[in-house]
Amino acid sequence: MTVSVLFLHSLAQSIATISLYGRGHPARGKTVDASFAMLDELHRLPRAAQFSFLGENVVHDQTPIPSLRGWQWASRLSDAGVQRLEFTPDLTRDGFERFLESLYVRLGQVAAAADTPPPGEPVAGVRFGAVSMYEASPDPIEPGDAATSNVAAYSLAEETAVTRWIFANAEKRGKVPASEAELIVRSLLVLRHADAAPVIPILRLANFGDYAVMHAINVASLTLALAEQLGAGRREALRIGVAGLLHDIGMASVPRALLEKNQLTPDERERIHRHPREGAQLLLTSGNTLDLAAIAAYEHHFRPDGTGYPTPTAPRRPHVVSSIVKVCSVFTALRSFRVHWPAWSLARGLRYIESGAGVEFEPAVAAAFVRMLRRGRDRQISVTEHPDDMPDFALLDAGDESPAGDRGVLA
Amino acid sequence: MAGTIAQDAAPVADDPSAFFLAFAAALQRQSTYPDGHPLLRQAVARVHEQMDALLAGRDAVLVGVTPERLLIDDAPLANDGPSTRELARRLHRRDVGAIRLTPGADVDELGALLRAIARRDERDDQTAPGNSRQVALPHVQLFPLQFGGLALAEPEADEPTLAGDGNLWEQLVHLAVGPHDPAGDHASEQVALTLRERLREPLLEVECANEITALLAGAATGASLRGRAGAVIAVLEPADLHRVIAAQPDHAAGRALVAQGARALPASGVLALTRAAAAAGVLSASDATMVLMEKLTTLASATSGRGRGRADAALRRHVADMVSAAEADSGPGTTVEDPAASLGPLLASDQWARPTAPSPSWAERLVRLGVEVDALVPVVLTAIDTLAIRDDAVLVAIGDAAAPDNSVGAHIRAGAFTEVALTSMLTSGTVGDVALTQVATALGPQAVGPLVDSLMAAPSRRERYRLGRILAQCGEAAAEAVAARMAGAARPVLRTALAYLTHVRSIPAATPISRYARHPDAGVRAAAVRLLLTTADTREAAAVDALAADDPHLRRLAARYFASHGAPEPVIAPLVAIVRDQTQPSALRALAVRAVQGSRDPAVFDALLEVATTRARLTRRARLAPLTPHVVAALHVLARGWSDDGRVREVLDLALEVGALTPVRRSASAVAAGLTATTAAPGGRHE
Repeated sequence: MTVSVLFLHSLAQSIATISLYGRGHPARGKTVDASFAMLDELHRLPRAAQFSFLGENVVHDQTPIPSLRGWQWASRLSDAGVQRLEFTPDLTRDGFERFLESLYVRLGQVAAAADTPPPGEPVAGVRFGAVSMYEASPDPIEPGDAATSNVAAYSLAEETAVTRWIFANAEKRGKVPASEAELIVRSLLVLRHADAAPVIPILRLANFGDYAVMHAINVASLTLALAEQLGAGRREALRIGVAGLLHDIGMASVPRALLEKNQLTPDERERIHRHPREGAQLLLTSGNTLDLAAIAAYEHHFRPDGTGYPTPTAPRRPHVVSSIVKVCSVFTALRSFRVHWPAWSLARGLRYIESGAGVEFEPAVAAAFVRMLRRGRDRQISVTEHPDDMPDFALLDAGDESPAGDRGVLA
Repeated sequence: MAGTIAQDAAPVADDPSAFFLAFAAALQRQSTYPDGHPLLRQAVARVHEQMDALLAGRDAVLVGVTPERLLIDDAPLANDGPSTRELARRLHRRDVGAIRLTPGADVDELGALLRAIARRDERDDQTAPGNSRQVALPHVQLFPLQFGGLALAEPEADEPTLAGDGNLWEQLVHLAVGPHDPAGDHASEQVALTLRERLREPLLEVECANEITALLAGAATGASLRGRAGAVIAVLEPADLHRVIAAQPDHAAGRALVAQGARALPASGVLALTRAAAAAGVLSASDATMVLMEKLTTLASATSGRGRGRADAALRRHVADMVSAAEADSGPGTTVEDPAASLGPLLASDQWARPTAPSPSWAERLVRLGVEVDALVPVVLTAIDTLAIRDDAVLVAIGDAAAPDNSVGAHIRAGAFTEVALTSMLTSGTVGDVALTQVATALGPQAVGPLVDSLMAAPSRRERYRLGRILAQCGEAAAEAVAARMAGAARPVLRTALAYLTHVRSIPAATPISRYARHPDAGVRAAAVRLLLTTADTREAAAVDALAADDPHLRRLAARYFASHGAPEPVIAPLVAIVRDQTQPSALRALAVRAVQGSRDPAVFDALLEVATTRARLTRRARLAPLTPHVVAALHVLARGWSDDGRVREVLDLALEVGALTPVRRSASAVAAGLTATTAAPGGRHE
């Protein structure tokens, strides 16, 4: 039997065991442990750990499992509205057990225990629900092809050019074109999932004059990854990505000389501190679909306790998307080569995020971010603006301790 | 021209089930007999015969396979019998998504197709990847089911899910055939070239554009025309496409054409059509958009790669969004729900993430942002409306705190600080006192009307007091408004109005309150007297009148008034009468005793002494009357005012003996100690 079949059998066994034994019972723990270990095995496969239950068909990633055709649990899960199961390596053992409990509840066998998440409430690392059509037919690639990086063939030239145009538009016309921003993020999403395993495409530019553009694209790229990590659906991820891309749009009107200056006067600092307000104003007046981006632009310097800048009329906890954007923005800035300081190493950047959890950053978001980059399933891939410029595109493992080098962003 | 398209859409044979019966029998024999067996050859020949009938007059037939039934060119079989359903199940279990049949297939080709199907093991995981390969023969193509297009449905997704929806299996059939369905035959190319040529002839331009429109519409809903539609768009040049777009009756029709193209055409066709629509002004697409769309088209048109499908989907979805955005009403924004609400529970469930600051709702957050950046834009207006419905108090607080020159704050105040809004708040009953007071204070006299209306209709005393307190802050205008509501009003309204006026101690001019003191309703009378007793001009006359009334309640009010303010000479006699009247309640008589305590009238003295003492029935000896309230009051007054009288001393001695109540004992003790009662006695009238 294949790993996927073994895992699904163990999953069914775990649900059955949960129906018999309460929390903490050794028999239950043993079965769930075994199932969780099998899930770990599953993550090692080149296929994504996701299953579809369509009538009597069971599909692993994109491949049907003929030996499970007619498997009764497939029908049961499908009838209970679980036509799709998606696991990420982020799922913890405890989260897995809670997920099994909620699955058990959904199957209608018992009333929900008080501490069991009701059906539909997300558990980090697993998503389930009905299935729908997603995209046009891709050519299935053989498992052996998975290592072949399609990303290598891509560049971010168009995205960079359009982002540059968006910033110029914002500065000169006071408008942010929402449609183009969405299209950039859609394109980044395509790039992110162009390989068997998701990647985080990171733009590397040599010219500091393009720092704002580079920062915007890289924050968008990281926010997309983090949003997916936190369980966002594709529409949510798209909007969150747009928020990441445009969070510093208020900087468009800040003179470049000010950004390159080492020591700022209080007036100059105050000028820079106006960018969240100006950005939010710009986004709000640019269209109805940029409300989330406007919130994130305004709040991305807020702290979890409601302080930070700009000073709100009433202290409030930043929106979850603002928190996501903030973590990604700070990390990107730390990892970037700036005029007056070198880029931090990956490990040092992650330590900073960790140490700021609860004070500077929303703890849950910071933890998820660090987990995402440490686990290393989402590979960071350095991409230049033009393909010809990237003979040495680097695959950066999360454990990379070496400084990124002074040549680019996050690289 | 119409005939060209119609030919492709000609109905299949009247009874295609004959073909499928033959096909099912041949498939069965293929599994039973070795290749070359006469029975097998015979069965395949039978399929061949039936296939000719099926394809009569058609370029191709696409047979779709769902778990329960077969489709011909997207339409279910008319005569869907058990045998065809069983064939559908067998093909589905062998992972067959669709079969395309075109004229010209010989017996050998059909035999190869049947062999390929029969070899697809139903339950062997190891062969699954191999099974997913399509079989392409010259005139017959077999498309395996493709599951790469499945994804977790978004809660807000508009796509139908597979739950109880057979349409998605039909979509899976389309997916198996793919959007890049090649024209596959020379006829499609011929049709495309002919269309292009005729499109350039002025006389045929409109008719030809209509033909292309019909072709795209058909291709958007059925798979069989996609190849031809793709071929047609591929051969048309930008100017040709511009003609097609320009021939549409209006921009909406042009956008509909683009939307259909986004569903039916290959990526390059989608790009070409979008570009033409943008050039014709039907759709708004910047150069930057086209740059990115070109990139996605390039990725989507790649010969292989996992990203190809996603790029293709992203391209189509973006065009669909562009069309939707262009169609959308340009009115206020519609976002009233948190677009990332599903992420919230993750933070809330994290044990570290104890919120240290309040987390406002999405609408409140947007309104606050609008105020803080001073942006009065549609999305903020929508949020204001939403918040007005959900939490008026918060909206009022935000508006109240906003700077005077803040446009959003001014808008909130203009909307929330109105009579209508106040009425709505009062009706909803969910707005707190603070917010109501803020609005009432800001509105000033304008707030009086709604508040008075609510006050009059208030269901409970508590609510009346609450509203009365707020109304009281509106000043004299409020009292006049309340008084104006009284003429001809019902009893509850009168009582409430009088109570309110009593609360604010105000009697508006020309309001005949004394008339209400004679109202048939006891409650109204009492309320009116209470009001009259609050003002210096009316209180004494009112008290005198009340004391003379038959209503014991009014008499009690008057007695209480005189007890605290002192009684003038004219009312001493009636008060003494009350003191003596044994039919009156003791409490009233006690009030009357206290009212006359400042008087030195002998009748008062006699009455008090009479009240305080009684005589034993047999011995006729004087003894202290039972210590009821009015007796205690009488003893107290006697001790204070008449303690130098011998009869009073006797009574007080009796009081000391029986251990009378504390005040009496204290007074009696004081008298016994030689103090004059007048030192402690209350003075005359309180004026």
